[in-house]
Amino acid sequence: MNNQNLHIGDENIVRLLKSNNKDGLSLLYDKYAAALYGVIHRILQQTEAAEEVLQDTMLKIWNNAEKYDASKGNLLTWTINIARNAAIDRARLKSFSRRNEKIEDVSNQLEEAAINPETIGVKELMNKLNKDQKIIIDLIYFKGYTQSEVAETLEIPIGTVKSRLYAAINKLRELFS
Amino acid sequence: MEALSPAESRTVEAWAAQYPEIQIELRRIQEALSQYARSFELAPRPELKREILSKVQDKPAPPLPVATPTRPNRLGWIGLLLALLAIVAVVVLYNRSRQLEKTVQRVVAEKDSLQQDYNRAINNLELIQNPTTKIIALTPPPDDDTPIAPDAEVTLYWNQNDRTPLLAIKNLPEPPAGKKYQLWTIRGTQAPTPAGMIDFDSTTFQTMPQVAEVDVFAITLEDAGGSPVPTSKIYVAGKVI
Repeated sequence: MNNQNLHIGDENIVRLLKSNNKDGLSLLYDKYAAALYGVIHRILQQTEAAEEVLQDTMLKIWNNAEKYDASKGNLLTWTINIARNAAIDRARLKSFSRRNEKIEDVSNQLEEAAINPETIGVKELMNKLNKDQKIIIDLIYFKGYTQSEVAETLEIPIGTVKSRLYAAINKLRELFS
Repeated sequence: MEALSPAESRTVEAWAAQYPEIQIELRRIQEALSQYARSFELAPRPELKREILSKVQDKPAPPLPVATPTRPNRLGWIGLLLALLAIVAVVVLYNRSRQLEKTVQRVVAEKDSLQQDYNRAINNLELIQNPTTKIIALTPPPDDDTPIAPDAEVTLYWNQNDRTPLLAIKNLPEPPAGKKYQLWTIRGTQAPTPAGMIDFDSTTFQTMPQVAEVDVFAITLEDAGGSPVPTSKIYVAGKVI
């Protein structure tokens, strides 16, 4: 995975993808498969399903490459959103009974999450986002919860969800912008 | 964005559409979130790449922008076809018009010719019906015992005022090649005066040139160009009574 393809520019990958050249998909896989698989696995917590969803994700990227618009977001964001939506759809399909999920389960999942220690900024991130903020981001971003569903699950007022989400996003913005 | 209620989501989208700064901010948040998501990077097992890529179907290369203008082309063809049809139509109509013009000219000429025939016929009829017109039967001379054509007969209408003899061949032998019948006028004992060549093929009356005083009309066979003096026997002759 750690080969020179990691340094290929997104614009080159996009150009290959848009001209229906499979090399583009191969380069994209080398560069972002770990990120996509990480998100998918984080959502599904199951290797077999995660691998299937990664395959679905790659197919969707391949089939929808002509719709990608770089002016609306970078390639990572676009592909991660595809991966995230595919994984959340799969999770719902398997009748994830998320309303029955307890707050303990959510925090446990968060603690157990296999975080790639080499990813830049993770330590800072983990230090700067408090546990409540992490849970909010986790539920909304990785599980596709709405704010009211988060409020229901965590048994906190929706106003608190909004303020924690706002604080969390601001932290993320500071960290990654 | 997904975390918002549908109403909130619509509001944010409306703002984003209206204010580019909001659009940019949304994009930054999304990218920050995807960076965050990246912190969970997890390498899939190495064989998975080949498994996945082997299931991806090849797609035909997208058509080049240059190769797309089929509609304009089609319109071009239709235009060309219409132009060709128009040219063909112009040529056809032009030819038809030329033909019609020629036909009109021919019909006008025929009409003029018929008008002349008609006028002549009317004139002839008037002359014939005129009570002062004499009808003279030209026949072989009675004193000729060996006439060349015993049955020959030509009718000559003669009006003293008009003085243009009108001839109708009733029976004359066909003249040999290079020969023509010639009309003569004879006054008393004077030598015969040439009075014009006769068109043997004419099927109707023929008007001869005006003549001076005359006692006898006679017809001989002469060279086609005419002769100042008669060189053959008289075929037919008739007295003005």
